[in-house]
Amino acid sequence: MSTRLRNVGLLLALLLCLIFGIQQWNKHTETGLTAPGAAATTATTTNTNSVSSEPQWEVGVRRTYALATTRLMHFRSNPAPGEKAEASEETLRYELHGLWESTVVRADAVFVQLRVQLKNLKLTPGDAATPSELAKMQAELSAPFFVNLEPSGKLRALRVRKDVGVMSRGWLKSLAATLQFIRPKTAGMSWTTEEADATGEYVASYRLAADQAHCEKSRQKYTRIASGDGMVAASEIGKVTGALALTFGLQLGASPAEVLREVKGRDTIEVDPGPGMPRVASESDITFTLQTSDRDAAAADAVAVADSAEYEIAPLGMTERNAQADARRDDERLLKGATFAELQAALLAIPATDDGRQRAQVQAKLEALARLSDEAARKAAQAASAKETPPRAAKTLLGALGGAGTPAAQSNLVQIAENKALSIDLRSNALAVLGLGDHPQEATTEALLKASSDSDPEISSTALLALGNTSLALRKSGQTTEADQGVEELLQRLQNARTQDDQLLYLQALGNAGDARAVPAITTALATPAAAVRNAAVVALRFIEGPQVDQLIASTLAQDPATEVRRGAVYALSFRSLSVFLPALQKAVLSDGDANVRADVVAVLGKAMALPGVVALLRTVAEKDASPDVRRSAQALLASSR
Amino acid sequence: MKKAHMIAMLAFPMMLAGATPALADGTCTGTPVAELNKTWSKGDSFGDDNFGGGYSVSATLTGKRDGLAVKGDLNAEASLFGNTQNIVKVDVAAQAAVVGRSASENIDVFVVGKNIFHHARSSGTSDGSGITLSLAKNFDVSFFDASKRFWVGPIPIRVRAKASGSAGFNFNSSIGVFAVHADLRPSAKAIATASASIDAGVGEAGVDGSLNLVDATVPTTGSLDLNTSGISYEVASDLALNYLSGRINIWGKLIFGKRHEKKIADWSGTTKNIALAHESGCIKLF
Repeated sequence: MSTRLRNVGLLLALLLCLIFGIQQWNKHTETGLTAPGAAATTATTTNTNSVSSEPQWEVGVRRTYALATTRLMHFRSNPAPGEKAEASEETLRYELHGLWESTVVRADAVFVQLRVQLKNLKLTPGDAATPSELAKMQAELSAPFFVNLEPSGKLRALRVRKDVGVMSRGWLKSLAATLQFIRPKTAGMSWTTEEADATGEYVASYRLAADQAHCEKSRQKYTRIASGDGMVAASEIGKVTGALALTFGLQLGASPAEVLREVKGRDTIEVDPGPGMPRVASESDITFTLQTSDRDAAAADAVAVADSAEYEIAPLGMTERNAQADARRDDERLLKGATFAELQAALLAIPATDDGRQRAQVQAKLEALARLSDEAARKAAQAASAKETPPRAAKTLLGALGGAGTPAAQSNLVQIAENKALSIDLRSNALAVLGLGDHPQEATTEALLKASSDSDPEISSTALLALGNTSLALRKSGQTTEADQGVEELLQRLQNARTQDDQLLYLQALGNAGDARAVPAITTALATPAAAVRNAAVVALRFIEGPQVDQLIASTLAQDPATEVRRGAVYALSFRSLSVFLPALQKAVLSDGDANVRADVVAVLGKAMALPGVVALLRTVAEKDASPDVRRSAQALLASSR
Repeated sequence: MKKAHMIAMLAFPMMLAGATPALADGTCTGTPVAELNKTWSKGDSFGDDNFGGGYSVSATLTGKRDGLAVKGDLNAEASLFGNTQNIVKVDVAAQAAVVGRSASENIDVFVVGKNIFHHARSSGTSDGSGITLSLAKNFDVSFFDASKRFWVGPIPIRVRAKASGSAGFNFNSSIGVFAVHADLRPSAKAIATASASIDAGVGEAGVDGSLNLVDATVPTTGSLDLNTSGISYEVASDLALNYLSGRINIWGKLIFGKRHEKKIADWSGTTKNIALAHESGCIKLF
């Protein structure tokens, strides 16, 4: 788990927590709650009397509080060493007023659920807020949500509507956490608890006033911080400082426990996650004041809503983020709501004068849409197959499907490849892009195997190349059995090859597969008289791991008489760890008789200038190479590295 | 902001001693050599820490008593946030084997190291009729992507750049036992697009614009004729190049905060038409 991820998670949690507000915790008894008194996680009783335990949650109890909170947040840039960033800061101010209506809808020995809704909400952000984001946020905050508690009153999670954004979720979690009021297992005048909010887990300290109508709560320290990859010890994440001071007004006399009457307090927090993440500080004031207390006879009906597909769990820690969700959001942001029809129209409207940028942008959007929607992938394939679609546009559609790489996109590409009513050009293009995917489906490899025996040579050869490519992708994803199937087919074909043309094809396909089982056959090919075959053979080694392969490539570079083969060796090693090739590269750049080979080596060395000795080697080339152009190339690399 | 590195272009006309104009009757004169072997190459790279591209191209004529060949190749690279990859390699060749009386064409298209198109055809030319091939291919593909974080005001923004574009070729050849004529046109194009997001989802981020990283086409026409005295050759090869044109701006704002912007790419573009080889002559063979 990297520090970076933790820091990112911390920032996330923090922002969400800070933004609105507050940490007022109380909760407990919730909703008007009837009976708090609960056993907190840990409690130290220093006195007796007073605050009782074991809250009795009662379905239907409804409490409405007036809520008022203000928050100031400061963001300061905090670049990591080596990052370019100007010093910058921004201060945001928010105010929120409204009613917090909380109703117990489910309560048993282990689980309590509240339905909460913010009503009459008035959100006042700073001048920079746009009307649309204000309206969106107000709508999200006003939607009913559910709070999951332990019977002790300890907050566990929220259930929110799926369309509620991350920011709004953070606000709601923060407010719910503020209402946590956890009682000791045994009555006492002071106690400590372990609680959680959107930032992490902390130790809270409670002190009951002598009148037993007020209780003060403070946060001693955060013990664990929510991060992108779970809770981590606070000591592992930068610096978190600040103070929380809340006063709970308790309504005495309620049976069996007191009812929360009021919460007032202030929370300040400063977080310095360390270089690379912004420093954030916030100051907030909050007040909850009980307005009404009654019963909702239909409260239990809300359980069905909470359990409906419209809602999903929102864990307290900021663990909702994941790579898949991030990628989806990236795609949605790129699309900005564009439909397939709109993108298709944009594709067809690309002028002949386009330098490629318009096409690339449309293709990126089509690809994103195909990832998000199987239906869009189907439409893209349908459009690519349509006679009225110009071939240039059809290939962009295929490229988008190949880039999307989803099972649906692959399935649609397979259908195009197998449709003999379509042109060979389109079908082979579909096969080619199928081979570029990182996650080939079983149906894809089966289709490629089948197409590899097609009567049309372009279809069969392209399918074989794609089969090699998918074999490598399968092996990388751990599907070795499926990968082996393709490689065995290719090895068999190479063994049975009767012409040089066939040899070249199978070597190319095996080169794509990058499987060590091909090394003996490739080694044999490296010894054939035909330079074209030796070139294909050395290039076919590029993805195969192992020191034996490194040695084969290095010796080919050093010894093969044909320039094209030595250049092929340079191309092959450019895909490998260059450090092991430094001696071979040094020898080639200093002594190869062909300037083109030396130029290729110089270009490769340019990507390895951090390796020991490379700069010195380039200096030698820059001064002494027989070709002025090779010298200039080395000189330019040296100049660019300064 | 631009710390562009420009690698000098390479040009290797591998001139052999003995190349002279042919006499009126096509006879080659001068000092006889064992073979004709001419290669013209160019390479260049460009860009800064964020975006860049590069290419290397070559055109080759080879000829001996037992065979003739016209070859061309194009390599293109793209660089996103320091991650440089060979995105396109196109190799094309038209060859005549005098001894075996066969003709062959070979074409390979690699995309990020993966061969996606291969054509190899060898045909007998014993009847003297020769063979012709006219083939054109173009593939729109996504090459690779890379991410980097930028500070925009006090906000760290994650930018994911993607290189996509096309790889292809046009190939027209006419190959006989004693002559090869080929028009080769490998091409590669890479465009950078990007998306942006704020970690933690507490705001919005976006990207405007796109950047042409490299767009290279190398039309090459080569002819070789083997006669009793030697080989007559003619080559015309030009590199049509356009690179680093466009801009990419990123912006970000915290919810209810102000909008911050930053330019991460701003290039006016460079267009070049470079004469790689324009030459004709005659090589007397042993």
